[in-house]
Amino acid sequence: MALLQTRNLSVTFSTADGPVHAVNDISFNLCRGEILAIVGESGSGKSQTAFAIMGLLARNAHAAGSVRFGGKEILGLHETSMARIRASDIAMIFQNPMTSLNPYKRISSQMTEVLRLHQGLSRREARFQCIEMLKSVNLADAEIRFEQFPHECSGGMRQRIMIAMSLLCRPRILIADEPTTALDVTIQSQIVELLKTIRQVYGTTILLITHDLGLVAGCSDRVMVMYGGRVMETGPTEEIFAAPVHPYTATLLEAVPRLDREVSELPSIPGNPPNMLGPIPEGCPFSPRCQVGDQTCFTRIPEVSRSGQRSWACLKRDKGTGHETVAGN
Amino acid sequence: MASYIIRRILIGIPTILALVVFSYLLIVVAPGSPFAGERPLPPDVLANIEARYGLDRPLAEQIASYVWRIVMDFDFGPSFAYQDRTVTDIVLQGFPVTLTYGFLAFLVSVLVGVTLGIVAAIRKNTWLDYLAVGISIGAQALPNFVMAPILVLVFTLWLGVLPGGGWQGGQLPYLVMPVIALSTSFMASIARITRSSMLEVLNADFILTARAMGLGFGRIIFSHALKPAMLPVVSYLGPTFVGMITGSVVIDMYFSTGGIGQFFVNAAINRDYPLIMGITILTGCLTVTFNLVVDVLYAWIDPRIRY
Amino acid sequence: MIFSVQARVDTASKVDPSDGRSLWQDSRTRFLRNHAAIGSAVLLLLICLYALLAPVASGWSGEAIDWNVLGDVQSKGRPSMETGHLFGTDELGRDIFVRTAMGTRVSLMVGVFGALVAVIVGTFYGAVSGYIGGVTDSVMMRIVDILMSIPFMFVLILLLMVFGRSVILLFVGIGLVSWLDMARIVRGQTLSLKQAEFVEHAVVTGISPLMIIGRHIIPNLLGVVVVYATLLVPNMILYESFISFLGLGVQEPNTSLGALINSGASQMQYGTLWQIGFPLFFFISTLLGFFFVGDGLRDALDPRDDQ
Repeated sequence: MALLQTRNLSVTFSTADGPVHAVNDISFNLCRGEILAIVGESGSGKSQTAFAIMGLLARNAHAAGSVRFGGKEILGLHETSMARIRASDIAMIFQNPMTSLNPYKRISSQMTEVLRLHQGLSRREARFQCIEMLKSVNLADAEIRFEQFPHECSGGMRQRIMIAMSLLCRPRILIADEPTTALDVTIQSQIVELLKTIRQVYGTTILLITHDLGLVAGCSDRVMVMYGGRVMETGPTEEIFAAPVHPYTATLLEAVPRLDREVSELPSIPGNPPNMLGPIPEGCPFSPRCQVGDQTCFTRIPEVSRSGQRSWACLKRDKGTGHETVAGN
Repeated sequence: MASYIIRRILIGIPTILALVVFSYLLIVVAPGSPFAGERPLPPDVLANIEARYGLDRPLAEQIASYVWRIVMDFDFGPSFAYQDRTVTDIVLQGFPVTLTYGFLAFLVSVLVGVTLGIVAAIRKNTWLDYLAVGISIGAQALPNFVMAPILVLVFTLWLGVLPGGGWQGGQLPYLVMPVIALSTSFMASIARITRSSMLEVLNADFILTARAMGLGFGRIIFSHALKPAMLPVVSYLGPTFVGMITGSVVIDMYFSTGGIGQFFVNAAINRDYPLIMGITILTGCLTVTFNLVVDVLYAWIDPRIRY
Repeated sequence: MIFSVQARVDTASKVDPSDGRSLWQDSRTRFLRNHAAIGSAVLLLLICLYALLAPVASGWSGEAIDWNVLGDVQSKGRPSMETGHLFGTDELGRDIFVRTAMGTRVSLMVGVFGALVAVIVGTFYGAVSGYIGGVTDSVMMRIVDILMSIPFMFVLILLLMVFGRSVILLFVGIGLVSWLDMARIVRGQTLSLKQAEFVEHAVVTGISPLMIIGRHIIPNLLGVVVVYATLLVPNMILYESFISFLGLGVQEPNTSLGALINSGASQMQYGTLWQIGFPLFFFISTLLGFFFVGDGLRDALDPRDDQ
């Protein structure tokens, strides 16, 4: 059984201009020990999916559907029960390490607080474990950094500290929301390596959210491509990169600069990202920009097709084994 | 930190000196002699008096000796209006009273204001929030000189539960109305500042991190949000303090509490220059010292401030 | 949920690109949608009309004594249509309806002119300091810091005492007391404007600094200045009323809201509550009106949630 099962998850924001459907009816499994990457452009709903799992949605957001962790429903759980799951079972790190740490508190106090709260450790024991964890994420001068304030550390160091902090309680799942976007390129690859090491050492299952296909190719086992709040395609990373099924995935991959191919100009996807305001569109969200689709794509939401480990949602690529959903992995 | 404090003190000293020189010059420039007001004096008597008060010497020497006597002996010279009393006597009599109710009003403003602001922020868009916001908006239009008559009207004239004035060594019934009158509008401002800064802090990324780390609501507020949310309040403590000192003029006049404000207004009406200067300089020193404390507090809260 | 985490929805997806509304139009729409601000603007307009027209409309003048009323103000001086004293009379038999209008006029004038003085001095000082930068900037801002730690109300009272009480001095004095905040805000804005490309372009083309400040910096500061000026007006009114309440401001037979509240407060014990009630009503309404309009303008020009 999958460690985390998400079924028919939808996230809707009520705004002054009307409801915004950020995530529409998505289902996926997160299996023990894997690195699953959710890929999509900004506004595709990938981050909101993560926030919904963590129960950290904004006040004006509403999540519907089901999220099961270890067989237990956690969507809509009361704040206090959810707080117990956070960090100890499912941890999350964020995009901008410059603002994610509290600038008014020493790193020591922010880190030990987590351990003391969830595991009731003594100050001394918590301190020891925190420094150990900082060392294991390869933070140089861990003891010195531990006593500093966040502003005294660089962005890369702060992301390491964030990762160390999220791993303190040995969570089974780590959700990394664009963990490298705000960092320099050289630091980015270090953080990616670190995530891979963490999976090896601690067996942590990682849900990596990113728009960076290079990052996906470098470390994930499986990929889930999202567009307009829906899942377009899911499958093993290598297979998807080698032979994308969904037209959106295909155009997305064409837009990635590659060293082994000489192109004068990178192709871009015509049209604009979807407007998430207003009623849920009746057809495939990608249909207005799709080169393959026709009129029917505007009126019907494609069912999920499956073939082996892969699945996709496209009316024009309906060569799968049937109309079953991804469930029952 | 220590060097920061020393530097701030070194800035404070010229501030006070500038205040002394400025007010002294102002009085020298003032038309007419301080003694000319009441009735015309014979020239020789006037000269005699001026010599006694040192007004016949060169200006720079007057200021220097004035400052010298203040620093060495805490001697602000004789009062012109209260013939047999020195400014120091009067100041020592008035300041304890003012500082007593001023300090209490300061405490009430900050404690009530901060509490109200936090409650409004964490119960945003509930009736509690609307009530707190309503109170704080309304109370901003209730400065001490409006609150004082209203309080007297209600508690003294209608209900008859509190004395309308007097001090009696600072007994509780005599303290209530001065403290409320002085603190209301500042309490309101502090509540507003606290609410909006708390809301801003609760939107910060690091609060999301704290939630993702599974911290409970109370812990997030008190361990993570309170300190940064207090920064704007801390900056407002200086103006609040000045407001308390300034407001004491109204309180002393209206409630006859016998604090420094009463002497100040009487001195202003009687053109009692040494007394006015003494009070202005002392309040200046108090304000400068208080601002120093505030700056240090600010630097302590925000580690990113460079000393 | 208790947390006020903002919608982290990609805002780009919500904006319709075909809709090319300008920032000013947006601001105007936002302001017009703010009922409290619009209501307050109307209220202020009505108060202004009252202040201007009441003395003309009423049969009484603000200085004339109604001898019929004198001696029995408690009963004959009540507000009534028959005697023509709509708001009643004071203890000297003068018409409160007209005197409140006079006082409102003085308070509004002090408020607007004082704010004007503060805005002019503060904007210029802040713009110069921020634009020149470097040592000049730090010296100029140090001076502001020093001036800020002086209890200005005392200095203002000192000024009034030395130079005699006059409305002009009150205007200028109150304005000069309040330019410091303005200077700080304008300096901060200037610092960021200095980086703007159109300013850099002007520098490259060799336009003189003073010209750049006048032509490029100050016009772009207008939004902030307008908002802050609106919020300064009620503070000016507060200062003036404070001083007049102490009897150190506007002199009889002219009056201001502070002076009226003071005289009303001194008559409270005789039950002539209309004497304090009407001036108090106009005082609080005016203050709240300016607060709401200022807040509305700030929200409209600088939209930030949760304020």
